[in-house]
Amino acid sequence: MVGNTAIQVLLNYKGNRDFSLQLKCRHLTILNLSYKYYLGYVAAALECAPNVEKLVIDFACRTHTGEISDFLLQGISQTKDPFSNKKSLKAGHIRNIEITGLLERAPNVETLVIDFAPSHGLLSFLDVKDVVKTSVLSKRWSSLWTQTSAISIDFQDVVHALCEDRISSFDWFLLQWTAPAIHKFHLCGLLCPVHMKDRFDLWIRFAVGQSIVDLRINVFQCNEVYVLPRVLLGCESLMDLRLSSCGFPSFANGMVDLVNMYHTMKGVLSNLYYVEKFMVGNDALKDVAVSCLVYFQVLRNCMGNGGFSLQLKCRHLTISTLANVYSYGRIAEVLECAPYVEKLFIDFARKRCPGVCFL
Amino acid sequence: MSSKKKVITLRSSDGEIFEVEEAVALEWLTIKPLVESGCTDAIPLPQVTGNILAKVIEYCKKHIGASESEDRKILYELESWDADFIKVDQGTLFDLIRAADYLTIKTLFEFTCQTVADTIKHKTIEEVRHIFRESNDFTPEEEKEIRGKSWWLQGL
Repeated sequence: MVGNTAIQVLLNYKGNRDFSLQLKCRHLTILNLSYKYYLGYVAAALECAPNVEKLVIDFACRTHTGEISDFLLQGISQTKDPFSNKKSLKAGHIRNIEITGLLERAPNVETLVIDFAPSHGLLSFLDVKDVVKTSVLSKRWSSLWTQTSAISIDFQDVVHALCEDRISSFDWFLLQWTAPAIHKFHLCGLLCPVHMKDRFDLWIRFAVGQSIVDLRINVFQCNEVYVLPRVLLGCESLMDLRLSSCGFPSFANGMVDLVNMYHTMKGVLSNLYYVEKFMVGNDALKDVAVSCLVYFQVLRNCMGNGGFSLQLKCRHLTISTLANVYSYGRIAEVLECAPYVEKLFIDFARKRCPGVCFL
Repeated sequence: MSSKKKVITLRSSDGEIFEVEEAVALEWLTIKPLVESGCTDAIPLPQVTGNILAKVIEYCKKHIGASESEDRKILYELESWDADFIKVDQGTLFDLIRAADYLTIKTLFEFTCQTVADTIKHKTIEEVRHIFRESNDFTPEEEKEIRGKSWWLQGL
């Protein structure tokens, strides 16, 4: 078990003690414990794990390991738990306790950031090209960059390169990548989506396969619109999706994207089937950011289906490039069928009319 | 408003004692269970020094409640306050990151990481090494090999 979540699990066991649920394992390993005071909970949890013979605790950060093993041993033998006072420990069965901290593994702790989790945190705020750059810093950094769970790249940043170069470099990056999941995947400034569609699809399929949570795709202004692969519609892990100049595949005849629909405004209702399905059916979707008026059609459609209890489940709703204040009425209608919305952002395309209260 | 707000006592690694309102301490996920269990003793924070803890508390006090505010004016003020707050030396900034990570304060962690990320953006490798106080332990051959692997690393 890893980290403080493990403690929650253990605590649950503790809570269920009355129902004689027991941990049956013989070896218990807890990794990345962030705070030694959780040891009190570990001790409590051990009460209901009578078979544990070996306990391994690994701290996420520097700790005085000697002191802790004393504490735990003391706790076990003297039945004293500083946090629950009444708990008595009868865990004489544990024969082997191993506690490690980063102190031994990284003797030059003074160079800080790098030794601890923050380096991962830091990497997740960097653009891919800056992330890759860290591989040359020193040996310790040389493979850290492959473990970042946040990938964001702005293709416009790399002005001197040919399109092909940029694309294949990013492919190379994804090949090196080793983290268990992608949390954040931001693709900015994509060019020529039609020629590159297959490649982009590949990236998005890849992201969907890696339990993507936060996806942003921004196609650089051009006449082409990038039509997203269908696999995205069924992505359950997605919670935050921001798209610009992208469309969903249409339900009926071929690929019709949303932006084109904005221009034609014909047959919108039938073609928006998938978009609705996506927005309405995704329970996990918490932030929805939409742009262009056409999305109102989508949102209104959701409302139209109110009788069938279709609802927008998102909590944050962002509407950008709103053309004028007359659309307010529509938003109000839409909000009726989005009972969970807590935050609403509206951005006007032209003149701003702040202070207009319509709700 | 309730007249008596519950106060949590914290002890930094150098023994300094701080008092924070319970609402602030509850935002720190690492000590949240301790606070909720009604711990009345001073909570020791052996990895955070007094001056850093003071900064952390200052940040959290300012941000509690204000971050969720809908009022644009408050948000603007908060932004400029943040900009002043983060004008610290590199060492302090890294200490803040570590403290935020250790105490699991999401907002502060993201803010400080973003700040560091912004400072190393578009910097050369040498400059980044200097910022991280990292010494180059590659042999010239090794470094050449790594640089050769990626298109991004060429010409830097």
